[in-house]
Amino acid sequence: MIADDEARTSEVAAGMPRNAVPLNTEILQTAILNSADFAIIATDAEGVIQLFNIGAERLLGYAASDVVNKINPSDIHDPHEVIARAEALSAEFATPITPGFDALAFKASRGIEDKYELTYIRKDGSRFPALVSITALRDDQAEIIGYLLIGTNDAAAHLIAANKEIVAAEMFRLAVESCTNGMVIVDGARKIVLVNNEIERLFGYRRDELIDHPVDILVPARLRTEYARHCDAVTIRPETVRLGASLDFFGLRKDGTELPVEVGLNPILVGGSLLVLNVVVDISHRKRSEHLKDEFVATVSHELRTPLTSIAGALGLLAGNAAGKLPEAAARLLTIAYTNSQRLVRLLNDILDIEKMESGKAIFEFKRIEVRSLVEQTIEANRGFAEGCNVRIRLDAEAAAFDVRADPDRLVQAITNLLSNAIKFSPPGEEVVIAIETRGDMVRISVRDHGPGVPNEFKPHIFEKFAQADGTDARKKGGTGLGLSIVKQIVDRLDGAVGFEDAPGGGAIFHVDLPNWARAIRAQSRLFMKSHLRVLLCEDDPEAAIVLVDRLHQEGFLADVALTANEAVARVAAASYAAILVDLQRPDGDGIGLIKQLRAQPQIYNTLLVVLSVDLDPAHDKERPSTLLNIVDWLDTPIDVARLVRVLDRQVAGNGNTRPRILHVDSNPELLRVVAGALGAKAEVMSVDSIDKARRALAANRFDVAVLDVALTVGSGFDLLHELRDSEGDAIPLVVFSPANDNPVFAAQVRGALIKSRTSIDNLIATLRKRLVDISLPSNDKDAA
Amino acid sequence: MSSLRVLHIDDEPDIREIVAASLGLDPEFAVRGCDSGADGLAAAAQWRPDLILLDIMMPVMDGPTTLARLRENPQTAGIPVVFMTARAQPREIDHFKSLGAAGVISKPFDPMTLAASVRSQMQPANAG
Repeated sequence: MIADDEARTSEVAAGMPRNAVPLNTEILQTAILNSADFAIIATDAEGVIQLFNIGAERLLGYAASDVVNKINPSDIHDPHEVIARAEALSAEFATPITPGFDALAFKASRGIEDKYELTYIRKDGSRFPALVSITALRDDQAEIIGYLLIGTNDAAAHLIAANKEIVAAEMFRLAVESCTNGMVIVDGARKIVLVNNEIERLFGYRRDELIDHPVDILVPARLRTEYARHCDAVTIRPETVRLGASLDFFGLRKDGTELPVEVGLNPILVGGSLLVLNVVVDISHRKRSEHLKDEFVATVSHELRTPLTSIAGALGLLAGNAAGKLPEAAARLLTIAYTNSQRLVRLLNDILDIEKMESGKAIFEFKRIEVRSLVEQTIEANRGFAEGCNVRIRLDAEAAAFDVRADPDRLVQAITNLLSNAIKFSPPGEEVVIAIETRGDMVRISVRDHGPGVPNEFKPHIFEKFAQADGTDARKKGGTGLGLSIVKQIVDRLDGAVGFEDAPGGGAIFHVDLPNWARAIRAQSRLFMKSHLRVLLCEDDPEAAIVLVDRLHQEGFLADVALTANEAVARVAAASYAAILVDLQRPDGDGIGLIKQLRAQPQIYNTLLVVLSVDLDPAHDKERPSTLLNIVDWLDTPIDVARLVRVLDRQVAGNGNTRPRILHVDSNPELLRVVAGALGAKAEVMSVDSIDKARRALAANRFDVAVLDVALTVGSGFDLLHELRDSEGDAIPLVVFSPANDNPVFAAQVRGALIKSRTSIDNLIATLRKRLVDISLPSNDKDAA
Repeated sequence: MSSLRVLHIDDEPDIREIVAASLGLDPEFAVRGCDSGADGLAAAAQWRPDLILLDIMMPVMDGPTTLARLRENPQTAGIPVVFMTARAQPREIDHFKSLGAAGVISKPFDPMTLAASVRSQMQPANAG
């Protein structure tokens, strides 16, 4: 019978291509009516059955010819149930309802949507509990002409209801599986607990090769630390993080190739444990088209530039009378050609700049910059242009010196664009004034002109590309229409803001607000606090470790504990740490051995290592200055000079625009010369051969790193360990030499000296914050976001 | 007084002519042009210029390759080389300098001041 139905349905649809089937009500009706799982019964207004579909025949056992025009549906129901329903309805509506068809149709006849559960009695006498939905059929005048009853197997309906959750789960599973984004759920240990089809497809793994494996197998080795940081950041401060939205991120396929992806990290809480859902989007198409666009822009700009070089060169020579003096009329025309060739050059340069900025290829190198002197230099560089326009540039007398964090070249470019706009729009004889002031923790650089000002209707569009207030007028000024757009792009990247206002008395004031140095550093440190701060505590006393770890957690750090030296080494091999805290009061007495062992691990070659002996009574010790040591490395004598140079090199790298200073205290004149020679190009090395000289040097200078041979003169060399501090009392990063052959007397002295390194937890936290932020800056500075 | 010999290697004949004319404004300069890296290498070895102006984007042998080959040959290894290129980012300029270039002149250049720019690039070599 079912096969027949299908045959009939397809017969109706036959004759037209499948995808061209119109939404034909006839076909739909046929399909519905032929459904074998629904008993569909239509009656006339009195309830006499007019239609009895295949489903009804199948489910109820009657042939249509047995019932049509003969009986009404209540005749094939359990009569007791019909009576009961009639009574219930009579009570509900306070009107007598006879236990016949009325009992079924009463509500529907009043326009009430009705569904009831009653039992049909099959032709063979068996019972068929059904869920029936009944609707009144009306004509154009809304007169009831009949009823439609659709019945399904009640038991099946109950089963479906009972299994709603299973169905919902199945639906959800299918949605996840068929989603065109890859999905990976990882647990707190970054093990994969769920992947979808798309992940299998994108990465080439079968799901059993992924489930329960570390998610790292999907991440290229060089990006694992970064990925882990973001993952941790999501779990400590649950908020959605997008990886790859602004920076390139890659997945690692089973075949070893990489896949450009964008990853969104979403924390999800399941049964009390925090999981991370990674939504992975394949962006290789986007990357390819971006690449094509970049290539196109680069090629076009090169192809245009080559003929332009010749044109601008030839015109420049002619205009400079290199080929003899031209008649006045020719010279005038030539000037037009020459100035326009110059404009084309600027336009090309601006297009290239915009392209680099938008594609993220423009690399910003942040430094600490004193704004006033940078502005003065920019004014000097533009003075010639201003004089050519008969405009004066003046730096406001009250402009003070402020430090900001910015890329100096880009900032000069932004100020230059504002200045040249101001000059271009100034009437001859007027002046352009640059002011520098501080507003809260922002530094404002403003450029005021006495030009026509910005027309109101143009104000909303002024920073758009190729936006020029009055095309003809602006073109007269030789602008490219990209200058302000570039300013905006640059200032956005500098975490600043650009704006403008009408100047009192006419003209416009454009301003750039940049975060001052202190604010920039705070912002950096917040960023850093959020994502980077996992520390390793090497502490053999579990109770002390618990107290310290609790406190570190409260302060927003993630802390792992290593009770033994071996555990510490294993930890640093497995995870990445922003800092390592070493308690040297170890039962085995070999704290220095531990430092050496840790420093031999390439992963933490440059990680902050703080030597501590924490006083756990904070009240006792709050006022006492911190005596933490920041040991960069501990080297055996005789010294491996290459390693020393490498260590120092990394320590002084990224020191911004100031030249790093190293203090080297050593009694070996040859080593003093070698170190000074090896690092002299990058850093200022002050070499001293005695404790006294070292003390004088410390009193008079600021040092970024100190190198100390503790065996210099035993005893006082150790004293110096704790004197190597900056003006704020913080330990200067220190490289220590000590003899390799462990002489017990000497070892005891080393221990004694190091154990002097005591601090309160507050001091430790403050030091960590300060040192970690300092260290984070150089590496974060070269962000090619 | 010996003239300052500049070898200009660029595949664009028009640009070679403009450079020759621009440098020619300074009577002390003697300029020779080559249209490829290969010709430039031969000319440099034979003529021993005081400075080489080298285009970066050239077919067959580009500027950086030409520079590397100049450095391999002891006869030409010491000649200062100045790249001529499109607008370069500060980082790209650093990169070119790390390849051993004495300087970078942007294209398009100002023909009336090119001689002075080239001269300023020669100062360190003369002093050393």
